[in-house]
Amino acid sequence: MKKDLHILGSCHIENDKIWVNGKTRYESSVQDESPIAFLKSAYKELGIKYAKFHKMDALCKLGFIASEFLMEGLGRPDLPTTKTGIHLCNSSSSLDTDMRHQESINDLEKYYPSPAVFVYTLPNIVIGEICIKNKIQGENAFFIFDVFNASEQVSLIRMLFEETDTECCLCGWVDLLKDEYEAFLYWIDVEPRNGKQGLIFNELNLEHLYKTKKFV
Amino acid sequence: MTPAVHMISNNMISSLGFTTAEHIESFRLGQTGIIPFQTLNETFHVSPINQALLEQEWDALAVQPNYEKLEKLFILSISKTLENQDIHPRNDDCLIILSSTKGNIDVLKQNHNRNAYLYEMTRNIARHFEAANRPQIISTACISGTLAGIMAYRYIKSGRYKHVVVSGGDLLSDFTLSGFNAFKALGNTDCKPFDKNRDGVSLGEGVGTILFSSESQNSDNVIQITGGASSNDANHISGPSRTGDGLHLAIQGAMKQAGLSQNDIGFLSAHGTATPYNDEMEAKAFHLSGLQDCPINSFKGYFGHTLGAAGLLECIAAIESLRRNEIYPSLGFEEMGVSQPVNIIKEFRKKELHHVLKTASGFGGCNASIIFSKVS
Repeated sequence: MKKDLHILGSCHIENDKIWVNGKTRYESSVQDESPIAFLKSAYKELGIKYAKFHKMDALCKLGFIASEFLMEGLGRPDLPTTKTGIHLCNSSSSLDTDMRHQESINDLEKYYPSPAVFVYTLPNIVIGEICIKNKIQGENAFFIFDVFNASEQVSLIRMLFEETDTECCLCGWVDLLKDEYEAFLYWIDVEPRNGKQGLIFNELNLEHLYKTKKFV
Repeated sequence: MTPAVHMISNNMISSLGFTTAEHIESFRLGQTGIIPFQTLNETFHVSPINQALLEQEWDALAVQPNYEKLEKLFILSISKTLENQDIHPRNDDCLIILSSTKGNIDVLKQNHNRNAYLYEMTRNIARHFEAANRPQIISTACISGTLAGIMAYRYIKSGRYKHVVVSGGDLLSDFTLSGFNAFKALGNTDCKPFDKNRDGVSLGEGVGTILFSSESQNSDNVIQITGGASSNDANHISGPSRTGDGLHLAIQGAMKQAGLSQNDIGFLSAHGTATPYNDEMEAKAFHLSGLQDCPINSFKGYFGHTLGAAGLLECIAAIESLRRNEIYPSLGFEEMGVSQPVNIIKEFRKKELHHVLKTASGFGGCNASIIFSKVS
């Protein structure tokens, strides 16, 4: 029989607010901040020093911040690095940065493509950034969907655990385009880690967690 | 019983033609599709698809013309792959998985064109084939195509689908040319993977499609996927690992799954982009994996780096090597240019093959590898 998988933690970020494991963890005191300004204030809240954060594009900052709050909520466990996967998805791919790169080449008179921008014109760079921070070396995949779909997620992630040596995986949705953004990351494990029991990983629980932000 | 994953049919489209057979002919003759091409006030060595031929092929298909260029290429390639097959995406036991890094990147200049969204493109293509299941698209840099093959393997092996059509595609565009150029990653000549004088990538465009199924067809040489894995360097977002440990990890994962050791691999189709750092990293990873004596090539010298199509085009090339017991020269290679020497194929020859390995690596530190085996 196939073993149950567990959701051990989650992090939602939207509307200038961060929820960890169902509880509000950080809220900006400033109204209607730009995503970048909000993510910078969330970075300060984390209380970490990580110079690479400041070089990231907005999508990577969003994914990175969400992953850091998720890890904090998990109690920053020791990970089986080569058996830890990252499986993310979104709908806007890297379009936010793609548009910046496109603007820099539209006019040959004002032509200024930059390698520091171009490197972020791929959605999976955010996976790379989270891997570097946490020394994660396991399975990697970035999928594009129109919307977050719990049933598709459960099928894909279950398959990953059934077909590979993966023991735990950072999963979820990281989407950002202009002023619109949404992150929903969750941690899947084959067994309770750091004494956390979590929720059984199935479509019902994942859909409920995504929609209500309640970790019950 | 766990289903086996069989290769049923495939198609390759690139500068070398619109069929797999045309590609094999070029590999045998050592002919490249890379040409000098002027754009953005500079000359680049690139591998473009012949536009007139594309229009001709598209007209022959006689479908509604309101598709973007890349969508036409996907539809053509998938149609050719499904020709004479009973399997079709309109049946609910069949899934379509696409791979692409940039999709319809040529429409990004136009404001509000929804087709710039990767899922919109995916849906357009699935709609053409009246797909019964929601299609999927992987966008994981230059491992996208190889990863799509790995996903097909997992979907069939786990019993979720009986048949999977995987198709990878990307265009040659000012977007990617200007970006790779800003990175100083483009070569001044046709690319020369693993060569001492290599100086960068030649970009290309194309689509590669494979139909996989749990049902095998009556044939002397049945080709199966027997292993696949991905990994991350956790080192740098744009620079390849200095040790090759990430790629080594992906190779080990695929070998373990296939139950094979390094001596079983008869041919390795490397990523081989011809940038100094990439090829160096790969050579180190192949040494770590004990594959330094295995015949290796990079197909980039034939049709350039086709990004999200690369993994699938090169998987097909590796599958055809395996099926035909032939190995093809690594075009552009003359003198060993990596610090840990590997066995680069210099000329076309016959070689009895049982298992072949395809590897890929990309920005974001990602790596993937997949193994194809021949069952007599």
